Amino acid sequence: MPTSIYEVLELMRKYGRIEKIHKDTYIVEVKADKVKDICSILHWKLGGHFSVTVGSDERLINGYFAIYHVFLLDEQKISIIVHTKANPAVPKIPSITPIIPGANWHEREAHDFFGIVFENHPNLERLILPYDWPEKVYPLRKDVSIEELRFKILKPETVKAKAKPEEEYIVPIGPYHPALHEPEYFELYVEGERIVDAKYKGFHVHRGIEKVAEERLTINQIPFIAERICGICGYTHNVAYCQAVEYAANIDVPLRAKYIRSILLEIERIHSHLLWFGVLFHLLGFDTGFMMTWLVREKIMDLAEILTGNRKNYGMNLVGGVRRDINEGKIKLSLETLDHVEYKLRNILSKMLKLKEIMSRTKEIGLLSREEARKLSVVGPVARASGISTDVRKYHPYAAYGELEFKVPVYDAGDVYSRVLVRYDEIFESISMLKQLLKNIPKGDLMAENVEVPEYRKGLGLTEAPRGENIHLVITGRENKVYRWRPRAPSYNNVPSTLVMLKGENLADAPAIIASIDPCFSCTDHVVVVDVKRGTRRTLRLKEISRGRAR
Amino acid sequence: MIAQLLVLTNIVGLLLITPIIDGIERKIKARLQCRRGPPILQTWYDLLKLFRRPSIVTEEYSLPYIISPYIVFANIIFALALLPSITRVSLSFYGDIIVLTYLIASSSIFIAIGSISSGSVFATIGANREISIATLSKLLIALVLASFAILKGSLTLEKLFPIMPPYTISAILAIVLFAILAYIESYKLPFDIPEAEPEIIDGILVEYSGKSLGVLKYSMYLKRVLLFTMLIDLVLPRNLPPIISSLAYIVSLIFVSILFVTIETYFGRLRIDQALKFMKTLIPILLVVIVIAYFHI
Repeated sequence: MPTSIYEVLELMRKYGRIEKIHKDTYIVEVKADKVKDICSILHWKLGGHFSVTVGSDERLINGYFAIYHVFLLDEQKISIIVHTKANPAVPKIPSITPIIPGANWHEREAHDFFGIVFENHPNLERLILPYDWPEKVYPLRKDVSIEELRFKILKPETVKAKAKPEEEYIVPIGPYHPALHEPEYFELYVEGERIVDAKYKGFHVHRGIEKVAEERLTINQIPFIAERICGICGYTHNVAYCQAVEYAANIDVPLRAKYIRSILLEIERIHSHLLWFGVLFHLLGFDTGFMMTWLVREKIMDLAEILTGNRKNYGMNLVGGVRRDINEGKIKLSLETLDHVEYKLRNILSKMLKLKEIMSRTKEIGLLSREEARKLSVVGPVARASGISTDVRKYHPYAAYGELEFKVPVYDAGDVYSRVLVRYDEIFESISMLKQLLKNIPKGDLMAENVEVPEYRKGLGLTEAPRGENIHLVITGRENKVYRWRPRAPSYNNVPSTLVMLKGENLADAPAIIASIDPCFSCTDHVVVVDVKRGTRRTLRLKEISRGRAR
Repeated sequence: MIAQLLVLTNIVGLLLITPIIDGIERKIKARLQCRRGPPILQTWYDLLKLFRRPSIVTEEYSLPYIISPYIVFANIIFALALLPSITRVSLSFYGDIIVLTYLIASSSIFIAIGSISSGSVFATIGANREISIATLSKLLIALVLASFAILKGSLTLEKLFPIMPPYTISAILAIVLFAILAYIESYKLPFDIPEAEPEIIDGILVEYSGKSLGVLKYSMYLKRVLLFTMLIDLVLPRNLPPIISSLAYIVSLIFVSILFVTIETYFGRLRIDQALKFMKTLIPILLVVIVIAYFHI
């Protein structure tokens, strides 16, 4: 098989016109009938992985609907975007879900929002739009405005719940379950204590960020709304968006700004991983561990506050650079804090992970094999715990990561314990990276001088969020706006894998398994308020669920 | 008459200090977790607040759901009357050891029946877990009480206490085993499986609120103190002067609860099958203890 970039590009050329859009990123325009072949080659033969499908209404630019399948080739360190056009009258494109099951949600989302039909998709039901959403209204199309959506099209309806007796007990987890304080809804079918089947319904909290950004916000306002996609790792979204626009506009960001971005990204990673450790310990009933890890995490939060002025939502980025500098005193203070944190964590965390209860409740539980992981195209620590070495920082370096030395921890067992170990190792890698960054930070400007953004250019922004790769596709628009912005959070790819992990496990292990992917439902639900399930499946109202009544 | 009054003193005294004992446990636990912790009277405040609130009931409950908290409470109070605690006097009659076993078992069963009758799926799973643990732990408690009865040759609790002298291996083993069982029975981590908060949102307690939750919580604290009392009675010498014996009892009560809560801090929750496996290993040990107790070793 071809291994060099040149060979890969030669192979791609057989399928369609190839164009370099920016550094390490190529776009291949193919005819609809060749999409399946090229995607199958990219995902299964060239060792790349499917990352995101972006639908786009480009009737204003060239008269077509467009679909972009983005693949990341870790070995060649490039990204390839497969671009297909669809007829605006009857938008139809062959589905790639039969080949790459991980594309399921992505294609359904494009179907929901643009009305693009994916032929041979196994289950082209609504994913995000609520069931009472009117037919033939596609909210992200350019001919539908926010005002129309709010005041004309949407009329709230009340729906009666229909309860149907079931053989097994159904344990509803969510929308607000004390274990996971976020609006997610898992339906676990149990016999005794054993889970026989699991279903997930998400997207309860659609915020319409994409629509708002495309219609109302300017390019430099979006970084701030991007930061609010996630309450834990918002800065990675912020950076990913800025990078996408910078690549699209060919803006050269000063090195010092890149270093500052990397520093904050790593601080965010440590805080996120420590938060996750605390949650895991709490779920396993080990509250001492929860309190102690969060005590250490507090130091990291303080550090973020010292460097940016905020504990969360740093608000540091603009397209072209960063807004605040870091002086020598802060660097010295940061290094001291990091030493303290590292010492504390080596002492506390390593001992906690050796506790017998923690081991017995996490080892060989929630298994995800390498094959399943590849099929669902999971990312981040979940993939790394299933033996897939993938890390955007290493293979698609951005910000200052190209100049750092670090390892990518990979474990093969694919259980909850491996995911614990991956994150444990990553914390210390992050600390070592932070020390390198803080010691070597160069002098220089904070903002690029020329920040003109040309229209209708594409940019792909990648960051490695604590939960996995974050990917933002931006098509710049006219009048200082974006034409299309699609942020994809890592949990979007990881959540479907929990359904595989849950089957056959104990109910008592369910919270730990769900938490093991570090799900971030608010990231995933970037987009509607759903309170009911469709069709033959049982309907549950929020009121019922909150009472825990499910029979 | 005086004996009855002293038993009443026991019960009233324990009703008063039990929430304080829990408050001390919470404080110690918080300190061990690097937290400041609530004031020692917090459990009392919580209970008083709950007693003032009305109980909200589910739509599909049945009678046991309403009455079982009170039955459990009555069970525990009766069981407390059988044990010498603050004063060294107790209701005593032939075969009260069997009544005690029954009372401890029935309190678990009524908790389970009550929560099943609430009609909630989480409560049902909690009750399921409660019963799985209870069937084993009640058997173990019956066995350990049997070994005490054999050691002392009596079915009256009053004649059992203290278990030593004779200083035999079986006596020491039986006390240690009882301590372990008391730990399991008082829903301490890693054995708080029926009310696991992150897994099944407090399981057996999920549908209770207001007064009935208050009563149920109160009975759970009292049950904990009941088991501690029993453990202390097994060890505390009998012929101490009255005031000193009361003081000794209260000091040991606090000591036992601090000991248990310290152990608790270092554990996560076990899964139910792991807990049952652990408890099953205790059965053969207990049988051996009974046999050697019979031969006065």
